[in-house]
Amino acid sequence: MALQIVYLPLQLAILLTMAPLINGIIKKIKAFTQKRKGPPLLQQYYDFIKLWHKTPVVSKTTSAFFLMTPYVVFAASLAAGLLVPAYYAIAPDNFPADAIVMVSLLALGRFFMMAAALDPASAFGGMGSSREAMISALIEPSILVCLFTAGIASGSTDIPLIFSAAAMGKISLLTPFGFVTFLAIFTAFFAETARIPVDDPATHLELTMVHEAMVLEYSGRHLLLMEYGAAIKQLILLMLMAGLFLPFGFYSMAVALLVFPLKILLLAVLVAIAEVATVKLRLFSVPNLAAIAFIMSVLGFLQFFMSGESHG
Amino acid sequence: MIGITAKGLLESALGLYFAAAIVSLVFQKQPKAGVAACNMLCMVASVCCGAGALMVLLARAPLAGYSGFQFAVPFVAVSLQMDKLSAFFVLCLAVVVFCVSLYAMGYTRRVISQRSNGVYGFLYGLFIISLLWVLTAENTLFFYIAWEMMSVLSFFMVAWHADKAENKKAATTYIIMTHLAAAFLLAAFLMLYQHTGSFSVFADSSGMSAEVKNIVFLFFIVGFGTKAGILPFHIWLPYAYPAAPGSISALMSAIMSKTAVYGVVRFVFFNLEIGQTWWGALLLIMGLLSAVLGSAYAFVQTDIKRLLAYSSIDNIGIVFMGLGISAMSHTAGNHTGAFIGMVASLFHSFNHALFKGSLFLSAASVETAAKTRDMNRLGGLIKTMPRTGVLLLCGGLSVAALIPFNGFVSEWMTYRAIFTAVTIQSEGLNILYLVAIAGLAMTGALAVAAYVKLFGIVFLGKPRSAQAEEASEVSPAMIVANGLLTAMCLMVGVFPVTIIQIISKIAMDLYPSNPMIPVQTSSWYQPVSFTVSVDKIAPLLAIFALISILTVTILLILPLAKNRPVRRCVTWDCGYPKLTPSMQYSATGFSKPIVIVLRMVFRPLRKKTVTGSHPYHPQGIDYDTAAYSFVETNLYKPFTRAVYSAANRMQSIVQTGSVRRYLGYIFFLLLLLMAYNRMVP
Repeated sequence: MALQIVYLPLQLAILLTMAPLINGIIKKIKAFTQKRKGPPLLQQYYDFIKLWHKTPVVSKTTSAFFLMTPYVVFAASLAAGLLVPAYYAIAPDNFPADAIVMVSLLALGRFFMMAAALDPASAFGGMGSSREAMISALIEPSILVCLFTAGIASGSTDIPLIFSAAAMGKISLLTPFGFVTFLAIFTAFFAETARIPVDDPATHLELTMVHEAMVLEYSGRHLLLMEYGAAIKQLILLMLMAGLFLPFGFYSMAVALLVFPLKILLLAVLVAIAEVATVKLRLFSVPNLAAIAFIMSVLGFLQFFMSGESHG
Repeated sequence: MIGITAKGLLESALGLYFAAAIVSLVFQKQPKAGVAACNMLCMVASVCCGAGALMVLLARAPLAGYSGFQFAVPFVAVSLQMDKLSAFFVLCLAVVVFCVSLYAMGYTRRVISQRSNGVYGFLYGLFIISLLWVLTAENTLFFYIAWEMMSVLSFFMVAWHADKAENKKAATTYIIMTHLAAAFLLAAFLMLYQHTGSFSVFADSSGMSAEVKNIVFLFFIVGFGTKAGILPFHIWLPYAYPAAPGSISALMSAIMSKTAVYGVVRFVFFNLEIGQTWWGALLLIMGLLSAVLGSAYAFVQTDIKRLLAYSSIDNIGIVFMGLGISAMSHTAGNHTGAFIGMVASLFHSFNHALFKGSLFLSAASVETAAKTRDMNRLGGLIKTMPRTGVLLLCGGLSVAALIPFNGFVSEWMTYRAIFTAVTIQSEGLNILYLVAIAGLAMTGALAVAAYVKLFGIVFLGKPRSAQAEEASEVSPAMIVANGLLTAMCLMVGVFPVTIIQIISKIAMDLYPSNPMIPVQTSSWYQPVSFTVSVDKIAPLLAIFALISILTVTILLILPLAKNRPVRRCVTWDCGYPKLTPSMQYSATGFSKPIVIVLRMVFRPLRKKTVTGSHPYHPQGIDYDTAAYSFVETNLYKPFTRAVYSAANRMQSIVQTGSVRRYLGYIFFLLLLLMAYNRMVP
């Protein structure tokens, strides 16, 4: 019980400190495969500190909504992060952290980001918004079907309960349905976090912008909050995958402390390898990718009922 | 309390609405006084019937049926009743009518001033009376009469601006479809009478055979589905809702579609009692198709009210999905799922009335201020109409089912209903539930996109036309009325427990044999647990986390903001200096990616003509794109074409205009009837 009071500060600390590190790791691996040294691992932190000190330049065309959006995006991401416990052992009892609430909080951030992109009256913002509308409409079904499959396997859509069911072996990468569901969530990850093959986070070319187009007009502390929100969202999805499919060291706090960063590191390496191994898809080939993710999630759902898991 | 009963309140509400209608006619020559008096009487009447409904809902016993007065026509009694189900929808009606009447005080004078305000108010009062009668009728024939009255009065409202061709088409489509649907309803009621022997709404239908029940169910679905706007009976809705005046569209979308939901719940669930699994599956599939296609079509619209109309189809689809899940769970023996499904769908109806009412009122405000509904001509309105902008934003957040508004809680409950319904036994049905989850997720994402488009293109950015530049904020009555509905959306979103407890009582009436539902009604702020697991109802933790993080972040940044205030400059746009309003995304362009991806559904037509001496040096490009409703083209147009061609042929063969031939028809028919009479004793 005493440990549970530590949950909130520990979770906040993990989210805020580890989120920028993921981008650094992925960039280092990408640079390594391209025979470059790449930026330092802590570059994202340096960028954030720099942005903190800069004066934001805001367009005259925009309204208070534009200024409000970075705060809402950041708060929504962080609030969603509080619902995905990194260390289950210290999650409070009866913790109402429903998976659908988490998805809805991330959707709140997305709503504000998409709408605020239209405020500066530039062509880039509308472009990013309309593309994001298309991509999110096609990816959301896969994510929700996967979460539902995990929920059915564990008997509830509560995230801590799903994680504990995974630890008990009800959801495992070694089973067919677990593996296919992992592939589906992994594919959807790239759409949600705007990575290759859906969107290129390192470029500002019109052809390749979705997320970058929406944050184009932000600068200074506003850009800091938007980027931080995106990084936290990425970390949340990685934590979700880690909790669902790599539930080692679940019950003992000491082991978990050691193993959690390794899990996240492993998943980040996987993401980087996948990014390096593919190219950015043409925009209207993204529906094909979304269809693949959806079919895999449906297969996972059906597989759960076909195999002996549902009767075990 | 000197004998204030629910019955008394309901009767006084009806009387006051009638008085409002008459007063409006009387003060025809003084529009200001007439409008104010009519709407204030309506507001008082709404308070009365709302209070009456609350009395019934919070009390133990329902209001028993009673007769107002008997007509000379046999079998038809003006008898009213208000049990918990009716009271719930009457409460819904009271809240929305109160706000719409307040809105109309500011709106009517500016818009209806060309025509007669008096007649408008008269029709309005009678329309509300017909809505109340539909919800509280105890006699099915009286229900039918009130239903027809409701349809005809709303037809007059839809046809109010019939000088425009599109409105004429809208009104014609509406009246024909709703009348056809009402015919199905009448057939169903008559069949019910034939097999149960009574015209009461509470008739006991356990004696009916399964085949008859199936037919009656299908007739009810056609009849109520048309009014609710469920695929494939929805085609009148996107034309009729935009054509009606602003406050009437709000009333139609918020309340009239709920009468259809009330009808389905009353007659199919309470009366007929779900017989077979395919009933629930049909409801679920129709709801799912309406939800997905409704939100997809909503996203591609460029007319504000048509977007809201398709979005209504979407939300009523979600309500029907809940009903379908409830029915399917009931037949599978899963009482928890049935209970949660019913509560989710009734709650979503209530929420939809609130936020759709608010959205249509905002749309009417925009139309009044900017004189246009075309999103391609609007933009930047948040600078000149900030309050309406905030209200539209909140309404949009509610529809998109985002925390902390009410749309989220009911959609969350629908997800949970599906989750509870997926059991190990019903293996074949699980595929249907899987499709339902995927469909609900897709419609959620499309709804977010549609309302981002609505808010972003209309209110943000730069004005795309002179009309948008000259728009100014609307009158305070309109803002306050809209604000009331929006505030209720927020309140229900943060504290949904009271409403859910009320709805639970209704669902318990329906599924009384529920041993495992401990509806713990502890304190008003405590979440209600439906099952024995740890699921909670209200996303209070999430809202609390969101607000506290926001506050802390703003407090942390405040000192920094003082040192480094924001510097204003032109939009960067990657360095392009001369941005014009036409360079921002238009409403059509915003939805283009989805139109391309879903082109099998939308079948877009595109016409591009390039003028100029040489194709490489164009002088101008004329680009025309249109997407049309495939249900209308492939289902209804062939049918109407067949009817027209049959009628034309009939005209040349049968209806020749010759009196002698007509006399011959009469003579022949008489002979036939006499022979029939002789043969059949």
